[in-house]
Amino acid sequence: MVLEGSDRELVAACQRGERDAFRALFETYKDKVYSIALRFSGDPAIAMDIAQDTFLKLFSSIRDFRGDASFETWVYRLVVNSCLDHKRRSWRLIPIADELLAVLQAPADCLGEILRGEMQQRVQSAVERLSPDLRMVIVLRYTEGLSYDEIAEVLGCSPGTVASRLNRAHKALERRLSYLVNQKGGGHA
Amino acid sequence: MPEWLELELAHQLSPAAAPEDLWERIQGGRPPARRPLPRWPIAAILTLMVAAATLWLAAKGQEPALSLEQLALQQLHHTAPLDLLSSDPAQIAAWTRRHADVPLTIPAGTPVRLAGVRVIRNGGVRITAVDYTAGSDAATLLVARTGPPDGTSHGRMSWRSGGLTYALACSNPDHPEAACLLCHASL
Repeated sequence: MVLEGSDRELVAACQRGERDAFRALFETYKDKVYSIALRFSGDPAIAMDIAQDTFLKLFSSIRDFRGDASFETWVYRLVVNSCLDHKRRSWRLIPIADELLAVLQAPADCLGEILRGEMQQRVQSAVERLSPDLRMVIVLRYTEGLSYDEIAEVLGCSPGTVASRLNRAHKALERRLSYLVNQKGGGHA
Repeated sequence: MPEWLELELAHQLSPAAAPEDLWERIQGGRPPARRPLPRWPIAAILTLMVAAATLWLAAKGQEPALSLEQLALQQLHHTAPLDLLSSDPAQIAAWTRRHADVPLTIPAGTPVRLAGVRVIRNGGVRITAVDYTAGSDAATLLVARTGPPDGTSHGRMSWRSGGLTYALACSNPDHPEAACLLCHASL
């Protein structure tokens, strides 16, 4: 049955235009695509836009997939390109003001949740301030757990470049987040 | 990289579950909805730009042709010390050219009695003030460089010519044209 098939069978079924196969493919990759979009953009609404854009591209161009790379790598490339395209198109006027508005507009019963999520916001905010190239390697590394070689294949660069970008990203994040360690007493909670 | 950072990143950037309605949006096939830009920052930026432009124009003294006459009257009544005491038209012209970059020409045979010249600043613009006496009336000529030479216009006590704006003030309110004797001996 298509729904239980491997990627290859699913892709072949999609290429034949089988409707169930599209749904199965979506179910297989929806969390990966959405997670990358969310961690890259830091905004659920934008992540939905990126995920939708990615799947529309995936479904419309799946006939072009030749199997030169793994299908998963191909999906990663699509979502990475959608993220970077969205970043190029969008212009957030005042990101800090956006964040402030989000807090002010939150209902009172959400404030506790906001406080609990403060740490995540700070980390996400520090990640958002990275350049798109550095941010993407961080997301692929920590959200998807990809190896340097896998990240290099997705991004179309060398593993050395991935290592260099990760190193720069780590240094920037360490600089921006080191105060959290002091606040927490020197270790991870 | 410190261990705490590795742990923090792995924890905070962990995978997330896609919302339920993602499939419906994809089936709808509509292009990703664009988030409308918030309007208040645009309005705030425009307001700031207008305010800044207004202040800049005010500080610059945007229309010397209109205010220079008033400034000339002010200078006439609140005489500041002269930078150069001289009754020689050529010397005044040379000093003015050197210190204010204004090519002022005063006829050698002017019937007025020159007192001297000074440079004042108004709204960031350097203005040359020539003090003199026409008959028994004190007078002041102000000259300011206002832009490229874009034509000539003439008012009663102020005029433009060759990229310069001129204004006269005379202590005799009944016969202010006496100040014109500086250059027009036949008046």
